[in-house]
Amino acid sequence: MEQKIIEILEKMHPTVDIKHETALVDEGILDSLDIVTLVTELNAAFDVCIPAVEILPSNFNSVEALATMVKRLDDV
Amino acid sequence: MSLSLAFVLFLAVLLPLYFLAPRRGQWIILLIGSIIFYGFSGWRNLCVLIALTIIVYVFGRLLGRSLDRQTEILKAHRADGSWDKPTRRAFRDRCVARRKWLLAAGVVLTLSLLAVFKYDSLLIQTVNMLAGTSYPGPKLVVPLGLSYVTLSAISYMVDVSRGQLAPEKNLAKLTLFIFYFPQMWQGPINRYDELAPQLFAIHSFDAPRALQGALRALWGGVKKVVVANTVGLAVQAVMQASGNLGGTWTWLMILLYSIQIYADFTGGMDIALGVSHVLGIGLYENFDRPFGACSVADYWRRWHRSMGRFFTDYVFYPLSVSRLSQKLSRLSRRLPLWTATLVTWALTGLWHGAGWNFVVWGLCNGLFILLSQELRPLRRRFGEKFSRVAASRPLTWLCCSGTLFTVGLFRTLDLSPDAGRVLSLWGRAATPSAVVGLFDASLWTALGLSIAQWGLIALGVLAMWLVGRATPHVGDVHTPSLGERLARRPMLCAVVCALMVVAIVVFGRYGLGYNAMDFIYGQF
Amino acid sequence: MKKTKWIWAVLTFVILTALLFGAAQALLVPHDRAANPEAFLLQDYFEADTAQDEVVFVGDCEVYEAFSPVVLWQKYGISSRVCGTPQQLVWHSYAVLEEVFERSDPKVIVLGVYGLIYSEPQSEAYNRMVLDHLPASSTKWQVLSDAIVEGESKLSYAFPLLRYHDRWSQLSWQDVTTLFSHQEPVSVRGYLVQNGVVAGNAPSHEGALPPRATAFGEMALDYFDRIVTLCRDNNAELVLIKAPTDSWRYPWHEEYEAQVVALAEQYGLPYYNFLNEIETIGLNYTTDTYDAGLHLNVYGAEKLTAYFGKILVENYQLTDTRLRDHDCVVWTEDIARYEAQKKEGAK
Repeated sequence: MEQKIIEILEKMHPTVDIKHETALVDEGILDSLDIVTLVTELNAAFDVCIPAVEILPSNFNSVEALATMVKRLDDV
Repeated sequence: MSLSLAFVLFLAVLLPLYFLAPRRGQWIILLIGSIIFYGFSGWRNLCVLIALTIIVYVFGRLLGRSLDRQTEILKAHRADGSWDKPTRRAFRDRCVARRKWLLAAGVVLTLSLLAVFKYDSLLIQTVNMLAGTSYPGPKLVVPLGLSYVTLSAISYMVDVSRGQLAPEKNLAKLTLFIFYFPQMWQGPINRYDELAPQLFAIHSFDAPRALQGALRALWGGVKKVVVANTVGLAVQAVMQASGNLGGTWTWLMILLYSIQIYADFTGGMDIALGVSHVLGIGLYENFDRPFGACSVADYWRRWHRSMGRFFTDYVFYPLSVSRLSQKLSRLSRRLPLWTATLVTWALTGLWHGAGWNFVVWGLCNGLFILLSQELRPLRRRFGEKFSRVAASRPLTWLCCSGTLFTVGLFRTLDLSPDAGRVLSLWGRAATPSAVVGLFDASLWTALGLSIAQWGLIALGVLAMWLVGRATPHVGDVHTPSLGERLARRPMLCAVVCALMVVAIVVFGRYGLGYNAMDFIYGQF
Repeated sequence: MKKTKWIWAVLTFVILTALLFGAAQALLVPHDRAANPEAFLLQDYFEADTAQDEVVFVGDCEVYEAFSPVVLWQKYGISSRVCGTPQQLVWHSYAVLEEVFERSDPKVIVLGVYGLIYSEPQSEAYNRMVLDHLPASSTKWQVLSDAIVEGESKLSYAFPLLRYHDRWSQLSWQDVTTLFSHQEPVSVRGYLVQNGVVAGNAPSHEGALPPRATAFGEMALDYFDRIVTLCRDNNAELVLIKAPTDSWRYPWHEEYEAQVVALAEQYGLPYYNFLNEIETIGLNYTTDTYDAGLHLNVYGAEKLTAYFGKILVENYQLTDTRLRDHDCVVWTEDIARYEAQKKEGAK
């Protein structure tokens, strides 16, 4: 799953070291348009439905956080 | 001026009371003061805002109760195992759906207040236009601050319904959140979880802090009353002469109106945040050196940030991740992004002003941001190929001035309800004669400002630029702000404050304009 | 101590602000008298030693262009002064009279009646020409409420900088030099010398506007009543006059005349309408006006003053001050300036 998320993100930001970045939102790498693109891609890739409530910096700051969120939403 | 003077007197009474009041009563002083302050704007306004407060309070409580009940029942049933997982999930979904309707009702009610007072004439105009009728438009005056407070109220209800915020049980406390006086002119749009803890905390008087606040508020006054109002004269003159200026109109307005709106809006924020800072209450920084932005998207992260944050969190995200949007994504992955962005910007425009020209303005911004987003791969390739050029200073400057130009150009749409005419003036601005006309000295003298007044504007722009440069970015906790650095030297501050007060009094544009001819004896 | 540092800072702020404000006010409030004499007529009054005045004129240009105190003194020994200003309305006159009674003990107050026809504030500039010069008092504050026109702020009469600050962009070197130079009074005891001659016809009502209203307004009558009371309380006789000039556009209508006559009767006041005495006074409209009949010039004013002086000495117990040494010294200066101004423009 992490690998897939990294792929999606790298397509959006090829120059950023996605794997080791832990402040994707806080440092302004992902702007609101990126986040929506990302949500759409994640929804399609993992067949989940990320609601607006989940769009918090803490859920989008790193690949790890993203994976945790997707897993949690998939689990319910 | 008399209004600002009343404000100064109001502060002169409120501030001592606030700091002398018993600690637990401080916020009550603030509440009473804010209500009295708002009451000065008229009984009708006061009633509207009280109605808003009650709506927000009631819906906040209802939403909170629904959430509590859901948690309680689910917990009980999970504990005794009487409901299986699908039943529990079905119950939860039912609760969520009910809260959605409840929230929608609250938001619609809140917005309907704004609709009645702000959008009445637009609605009637539009109906007349579409149906060919001619109903007269009752032009109601929007109650002071209602546009801003409405958004703060909506964010409160949404946060409660999402479970991110416990609803306020004390009506008086919620009333203070809505009525808090510094936000009444030009915002910022607040969030309850950020503002409330500060409103109800105990604040003792702190001289350096008060000094910082005073410096900032006075500087805001200089920007607003001196710079913005003086440039405003020129903007008005250009507005009146729009018929015979042709494309030059656009260039002049990009320049002058940008200065005016910057001085007016950031000045207003400096006053609001400065005054609030004296009380020890930090409001959300609405500006982050916006004219240093290097792209339109970047600009909107730095200009009117509290509004941008509201529309991103409460309109853009919910729209773009909604089920409908995600269904659209099957047609094209980019479709949700495009529709959500354009709808958000159209609404942003409508919020700025009740007119279709504002919608056009919003759409221009949205389209521009989307296009530059789509062109990102191209830009990246350019950067890889010509890395030296891409990182060079001139290019950064070019980007910055290009951004300033673009947002300035879009902003001219504010100026006239006839968006079509403004767009045609944009077209004519590209002609060489329009640019050449800008360097015609007679044009500048015809605007009715004396050389001294143009000099004052230039000086004001220079001062704003210097102060802007010395202001650290929002979130930069390591660099002390200009106010902090100055407040270390109270004597210097005393001189600076005195100079600013007198500058506002002498160079400010307020009251009746002075015309020597009026005072020459006529025949009596 | 750290605390004292803050106290010093606050003190510095207050003092520096006051100083800068004061300096800006001195510089920006118009003070070049020669540039606009009518605006400084009342300042002359407040700068003069007025304790000896026995007759005081109040009213509009019909007063300060019609009565010459120098002539009254030379011919009859009457010590008088004019407190007229452009378009002085009844409430303005009332506020002025309060100050007059503070500063002197006049026996006769002469009120020009033209102001009675206005019952609402007319013009900011003419408000300023009276009220800017009046010292702060509760009367001034109260009259201000009635006198200001839309858009004016009462506070700007306490701090005129708030009104005139815009002048910063029109400031000239002249504004600085006049600030530090001594300025002569613009008038001679409130009388503004006009020595030009522009012939006019005898007053006629051709092409004139109709009366403003059929009856004098409430506010004018109210302040008129207050003036009557004020004079009575101070043991001064109030005399009503209408100057012998007619603006062809805003003439003295019969309706006005009838109402003034009625008012005079009601309060038991003498009323002299000099329009009826033009021939007795010996006024000649080809030589005695400086603007074709609207106002008297100095030659006309001298004739009228001589005529009115006789009425004054015959009817009131006025002191002949020509015999008093002190007065002679004061008057010598005034007469010299009067004669000089009379000649000045005649070149």
